[in-house]
Amino acid sequence: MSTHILLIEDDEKLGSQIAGHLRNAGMEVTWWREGKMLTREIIAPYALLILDLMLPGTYGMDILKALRTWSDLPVLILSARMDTSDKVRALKLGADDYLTKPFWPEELVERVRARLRRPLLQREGRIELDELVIDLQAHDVKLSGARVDLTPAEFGLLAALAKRAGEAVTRRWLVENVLDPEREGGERTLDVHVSRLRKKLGPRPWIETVWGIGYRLGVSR
Amino acid sequence: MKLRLRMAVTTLAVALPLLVTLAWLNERWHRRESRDQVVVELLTRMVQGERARCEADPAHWSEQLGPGPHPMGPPPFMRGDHQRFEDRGPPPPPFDDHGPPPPPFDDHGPPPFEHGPGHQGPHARLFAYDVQLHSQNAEAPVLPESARNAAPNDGSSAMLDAPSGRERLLVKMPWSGPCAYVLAEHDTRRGELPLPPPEMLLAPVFAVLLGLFISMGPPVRRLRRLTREVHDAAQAKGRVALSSDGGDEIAELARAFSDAHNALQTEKELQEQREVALRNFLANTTHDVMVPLTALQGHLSQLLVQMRAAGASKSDEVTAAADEAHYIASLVHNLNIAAKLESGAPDLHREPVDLNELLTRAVGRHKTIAQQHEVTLERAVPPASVVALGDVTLLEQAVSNVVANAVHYNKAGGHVAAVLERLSPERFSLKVIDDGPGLDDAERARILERGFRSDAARSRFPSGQGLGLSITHEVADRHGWTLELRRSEFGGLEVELQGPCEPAKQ
Repeated sequence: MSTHILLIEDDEKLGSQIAGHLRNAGMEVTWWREGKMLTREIIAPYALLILDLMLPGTYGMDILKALRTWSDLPVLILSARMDTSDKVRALKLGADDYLTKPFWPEELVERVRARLRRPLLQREGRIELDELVIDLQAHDVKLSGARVDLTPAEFGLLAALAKRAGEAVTRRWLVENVLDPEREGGERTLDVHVSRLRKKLGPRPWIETVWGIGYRLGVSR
Repeated sequence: MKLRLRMAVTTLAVALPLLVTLAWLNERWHRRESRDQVVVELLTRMVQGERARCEADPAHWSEQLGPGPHPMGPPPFMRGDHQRFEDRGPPPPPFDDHGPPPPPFDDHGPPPFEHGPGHQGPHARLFAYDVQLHSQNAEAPVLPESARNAAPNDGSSAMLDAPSGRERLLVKMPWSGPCAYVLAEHDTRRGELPLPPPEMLLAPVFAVLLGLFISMGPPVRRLRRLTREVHDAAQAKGRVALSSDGGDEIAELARAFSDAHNALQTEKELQEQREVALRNFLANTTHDVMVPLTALQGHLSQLLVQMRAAGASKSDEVTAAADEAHYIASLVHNLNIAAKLESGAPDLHREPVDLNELLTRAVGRHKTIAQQHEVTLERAVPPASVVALGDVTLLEQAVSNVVANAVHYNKAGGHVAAVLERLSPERFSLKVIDDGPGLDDAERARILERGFRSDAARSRFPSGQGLGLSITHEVADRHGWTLELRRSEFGGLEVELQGPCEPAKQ
């Protein structure tokens, strides 16, 4: 079942366009052309609300304020006229994110996805990324069920990247927070560890090099 | 001069003439008193025997009257330690036929009036004159006959004209003969200053000072309150009414202050209204531009997707159109912020801003364009949010401008990386590095040395990108952040913003 999104946007063209882009991205969209107060029954099917602030009918900020008294539904605010005070107010009222017009449809889709992304599967100290399973407590890594033998430094590195899978992590952060400062050196040592780790993880490019930043554990989503 | 000091000076200026007047009056009063005293004493002495001596030898009779080292000794009314009038000198000469016989001396001579001990009586010399005001004494001053009219009755007296420093008192005796008039001439010059006695001085001076002190208290208090109120009013918004009870000058001053303040306030409100109207107009215009621009970007994006699907490898025209749309959007954002910065609005927001989110949004805004240009755009943030105080709109645009520049001036296959890091628990660094052509030293210096001037920036960088960096520079300044431009290790440009942030939560 695809993700269902409620879009409240008064502009005809823009509304249909946004709905189109979201549908292209594989989401189901219900589009309201004017604001009205939300109820538990109304929002039940939706995973996320995209709310324009300048609406005929009920003002966007009021909808948000009322909603937040009884619901945690993620809300992405959309507005063209946005003073800092509006942004601050929207965030204080409990908006999860906002997007200032104009924006690229890709940007909107990415932001919606970021909000919908489930928290990383991390149960009882285990991180599962596709066929890669990392047991943080037992310091054990399995790839498609087969145990991968890692040194403590390699394990630390993989665990650090896995905890923030999909995010680029700077070399500096990894050197300072993962490598043992007494025994290991700087970024060159880090690169050596990464290269060994890559070999042990097989052909799939689990660990990507991010230009100017460092490394990232790629995830297919 | 402070009010109290001025009051003190004024008091002195008033009190001194008052003192002089008092002293003069006192002197007058004393002279009058001593004149009366001289007359009484003279009469007494004449009656008690001097008349006989005078009439016995009018040509040589000349006596001293009053205290001091003169042959007569102190006057008869000075009793106690003083010598008695009767005890002094040789006995009076025998009587002759002229005139009625004088009364005999007795021991009860003193007149009934009493003066306090130590009172300094007049020191006068006496001369006798007959009814025609002729004296047989050669030493006696010559008197005009008209002086008779001044003292017509027995016992009456008159002040006569005298050389300066002397005073002449003519007394008519209650008899005729060669001693019908007696002239008392004495020195008016005194050794001491003609000051009134202290008790006479103290009372009025004290009264004046007390009066001043009491009467100045309330005005000084009101002036202080007025000063305080004017200070407060300068900071207050809206109309004020300074306390102006009473109808005096202070109340008038308070009303004048209120009027002036309120006039200024009205003018300020009008100006603020105009400014608000202008800003609203700008905001509405922005809104009206941004909505169709979003639709345009949507169409362009859709067009690119369709063209790719149809097998076209790349369309320069559509990419260029997307570029323009993107540029227009950032230009409108920047012009909006330029207007805000140039208006010098001091009400910069100081709200906690999550820089992780901010960087994500700023980078996300340019991802589509970067992809179209085949420029890799990545960002990295620390696991825990870095929170700084500031105006989220300004800061986001400042960061967005740096990212936009890095993407815009890059080439196909180039890279841009935006990295947020904590340098210390309370300081962050936000770097945007690229491997594009970069800027030479002179250009980098020029961007940093210039203060924010949108016109200059616009004319210098016709593409408008210069405006973006100027705004970044200005926004960083306003937030107390530093902006540094340097050559990146990859050959392109490295732009670093540094600033204070809230301590990391452990």
